[in-house]
Amino acid sequence: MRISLLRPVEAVGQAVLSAVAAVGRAGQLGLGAVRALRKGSIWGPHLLPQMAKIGVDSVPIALFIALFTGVVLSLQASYTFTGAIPLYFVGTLVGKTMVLELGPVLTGLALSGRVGANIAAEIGTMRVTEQVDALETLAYDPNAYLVVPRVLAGALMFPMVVLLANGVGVLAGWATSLSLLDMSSQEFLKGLRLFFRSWDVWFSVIKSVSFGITVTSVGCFFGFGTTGGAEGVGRATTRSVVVSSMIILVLDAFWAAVLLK
Amino acid sequence: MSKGRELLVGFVIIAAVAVGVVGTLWLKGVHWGRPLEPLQILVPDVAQLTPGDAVVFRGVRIGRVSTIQVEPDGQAVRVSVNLEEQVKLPADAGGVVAPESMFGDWQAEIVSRSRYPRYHFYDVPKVDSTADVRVIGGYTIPELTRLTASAEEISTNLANLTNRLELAFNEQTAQNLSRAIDNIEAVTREVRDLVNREAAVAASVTANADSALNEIEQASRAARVSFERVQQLLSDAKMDSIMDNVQLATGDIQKVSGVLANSSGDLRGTLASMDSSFARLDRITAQLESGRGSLGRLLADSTFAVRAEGVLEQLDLLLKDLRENPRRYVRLSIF
Repeated sequence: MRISLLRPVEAVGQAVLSAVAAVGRAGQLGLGAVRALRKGSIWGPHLLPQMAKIGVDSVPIALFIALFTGVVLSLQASYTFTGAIPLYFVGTLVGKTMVLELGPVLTGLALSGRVGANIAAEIGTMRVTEQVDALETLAYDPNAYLVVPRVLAGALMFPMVVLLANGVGVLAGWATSLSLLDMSSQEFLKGLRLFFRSWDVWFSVIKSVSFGITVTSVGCFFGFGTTGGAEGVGRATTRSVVVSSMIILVLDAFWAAVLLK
Repeated sequence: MSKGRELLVGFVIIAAVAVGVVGTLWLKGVHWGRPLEPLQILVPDVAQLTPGDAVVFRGVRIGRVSTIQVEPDGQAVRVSVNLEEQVKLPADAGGVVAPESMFGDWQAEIVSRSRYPRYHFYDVPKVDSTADVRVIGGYTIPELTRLTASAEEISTNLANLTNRLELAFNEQTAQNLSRAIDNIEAVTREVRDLVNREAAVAASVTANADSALNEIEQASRAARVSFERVQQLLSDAKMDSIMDNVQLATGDIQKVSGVLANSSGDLRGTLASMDSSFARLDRITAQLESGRGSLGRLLADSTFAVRAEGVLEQLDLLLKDLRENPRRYVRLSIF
């Protein structure tokens, strides 16, 4: 009886302790990665392959998402504006929305599933198969070997993918306006240029860098924390996607509050 | 890692950077290779004008706003623009900062000041007039949000006023007000009648006063003549002689009476004396009757007594009228 009454309290304590332990492990991972930046000879050779894997291989899915996002944005803007607001504001809405919000966020969410899950699964498998332990045995810093190239590749390539996605999304909206809406290029470009600020592009880049670091770091974190064989790998992968997606949305709001004041 | 993968990474990076940089420059409207003509506009404030907004001349977009800076003294804002076309601007050019549309986009338009005489363009200091870059004064049209805010404030005040009127102006107030209006109308009517009456009284008083003054004047003139005559009479020596003669004649008569009483013997002498006295008396009487001498003239002027009496009567009437109707002699003025 006494034990059952104390279980909720015990559960709260366990949750708090595990959260604090997770923060501690994340801090350890981050500090270890920062320290491992000095070991360029270890992570250097792996950077370009990771850039290709994280960035180049993600371009098709990112552009696919951006393409249809641009189309939908254009059509929905036209549907919303008809009869009330001049249609050239379709260009404004497509440009602003793609660059400021949907380009980085949708790409980040998509890549959290593709890249984050991949990293978590890869490192988790290495962890459960004791390959990480083998690296340590061979005097390889796992952070320098596994974490740094992935995080750097994510930080470098996410903005590239997002920029391409932004461009494709705007072009898709433009093409949609010309083909499906009763608009001319002049009208669309007028709206596109109307409220365009170069800061918008910087804002998109800053967000995407933070998303890249988040997705790769969270993948590495859950990968390193994987236990329990294949099932543990699957659990780490799922958690990695969920947590990185949540952090992306939180960061999205954070950057909007900080940078768009 | 294969060369193809490396090439692919490089291509993606270059393409992404190109999309970001070129797209940004293109959307910002940067024109490569074309000469730009700088121009500065000084305005009191810029409202929602921002760098990158259009600069328009005669409806044609000829440039963009590059920078916006508040002047060090805080009295104006310096808007630097780059004109992309070689356009000859008017000598009295001014900048009008205004909304381009109703949806928040603004522009700076270069205009001739003579076309907008009611706009108060900012006066460019002489220091700026001698600068290398041409500086023109500008005028900022109040933005719609300010006008809307003012209108909202006015409408709020009107609403408050209406509410107060609604609270104060109920049915009882309306009835009271109606009665008050009726009363005011009656009072106005009475005042109008009173004014008419007082005007008539005033006219009558004025006429009476004029008449009284004329009569007083005539009376005073007659009195003056009479008094002069009396004075002349009193001052004339003939009066004394006449009185002496009368006294002498009286004495003679007394003597005659005495003589007659005492002596009846010398009747002739007495009669002679009587004749002499009577002759003397007759002479005096004749003089009096003929109007010669002061007393004669006084006695001969039959109008003197009448006039004097008329004057006294008029004076009595005047005093009586003054006591009874003092308002006639007080000037009444209403409004």
